[in-house]
Amino acid sequence: MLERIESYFNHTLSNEERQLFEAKLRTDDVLANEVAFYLNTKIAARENAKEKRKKEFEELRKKLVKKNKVRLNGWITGIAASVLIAFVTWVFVQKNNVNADEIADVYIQEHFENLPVKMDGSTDSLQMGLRFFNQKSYKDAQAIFDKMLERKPDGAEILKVSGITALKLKDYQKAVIRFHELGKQENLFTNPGKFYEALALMKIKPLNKKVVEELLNEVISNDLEGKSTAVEILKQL
Amino acid sequence: MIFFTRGIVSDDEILSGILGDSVAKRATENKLYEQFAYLIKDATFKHQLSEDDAASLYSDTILVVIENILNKRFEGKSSLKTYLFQIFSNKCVDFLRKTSTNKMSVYKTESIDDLLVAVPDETKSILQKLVSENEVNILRTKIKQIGEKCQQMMMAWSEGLADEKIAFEMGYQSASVVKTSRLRCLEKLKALYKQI
Repeated sequence: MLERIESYFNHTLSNEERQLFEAKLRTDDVLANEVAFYLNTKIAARENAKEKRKKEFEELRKKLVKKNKVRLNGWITGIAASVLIAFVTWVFVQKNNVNADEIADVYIQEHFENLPVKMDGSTDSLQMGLRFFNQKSYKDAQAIFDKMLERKPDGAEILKVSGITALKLKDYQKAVIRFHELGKQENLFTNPGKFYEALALMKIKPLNKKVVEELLNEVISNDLEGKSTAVEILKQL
Repeated sequence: MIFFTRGIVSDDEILSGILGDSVAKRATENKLYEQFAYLIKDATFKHQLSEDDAASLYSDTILVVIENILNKRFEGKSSLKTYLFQIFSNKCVDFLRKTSTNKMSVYKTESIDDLLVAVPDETKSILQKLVSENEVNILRTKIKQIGEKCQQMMMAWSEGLADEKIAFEMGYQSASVVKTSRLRCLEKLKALYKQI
């Protein structure tokens, strides 16, 4: 009977069937009770869903409060940190020694500031994640990409953007894992996986120069995406 | 003292996100919440509400806005901020009015009208009489006893998620498997409910 009731509310009954259902509802107490159960249950489930969501919002608020308190405390330490950073930068410039970390930083800054988003207002998760990325909401973007990878662990595009997002979040180990998975895929038209993996490895200290060089040489010898930049990087390393 | 930063997500992005698939929807709902969360603090000054009360009303407001976006009741005649602010202000005022009588009644936003779309008026009035707040409250408790999977499925169903989407989200093989499982959950709930 519940199936029939559901069909009525989902508007999948024919006109004749609907009229019959409505007529029966006026006279049949058993049906009326079943419908009451169905409607009350749906409302109850919706109330529970709202209650659950409200609790999640409350957690979100607590995080926001905490984050903003940290931000306030951070003002004082921020000033001190700025002085320190300025000093470290000065030392860095004085050394005039380009290292792997800096090379990778330049590439990341130049190439991963914005990722292409479809302009047709697409609402799928990938596009939403990319929009968050472009708004610099990297954690939100990564949450979406991670969820998508749970469903489709070998999704090449998702692996790529998730790796790039991990670079932005300075989670270089994760970036290496994502790009490594991408690099293993052989059926792609272009695959920047190995090149990006090398970039991510260049950010990890201590630098494993041998592995980075091996990857970059692989990119060059197999004519993979990033070849010309790989040549340049190898010259500087 | 709390300071909330003002976000940068545009109205169009929020609308398309909420109307999108459930992963995008949830993330966008959180963004929407964060974006105007500074209103909580504003309400504590303007309406002299406690922060907890203001936060609870703000959560209710966000849920109403989301529901109105999904039901196309938000027509975009004003900005989302203005729309949200109006609902929130009304809720704050209602809350203050009702505080001296029945504080909790302000939270009762549920209506069955959404469930009775395209039902003839005569039948609608019969169905409206069938809904009982008392029974709903009993069922809310019983639903929590039917297992996590059933609960999740029924919450998704109550929010109007199509069986195809539920199948995708919860890893079922097909929409028809979802339908069968949901009907089983309903039967399970009915059995529990009848034990009263």
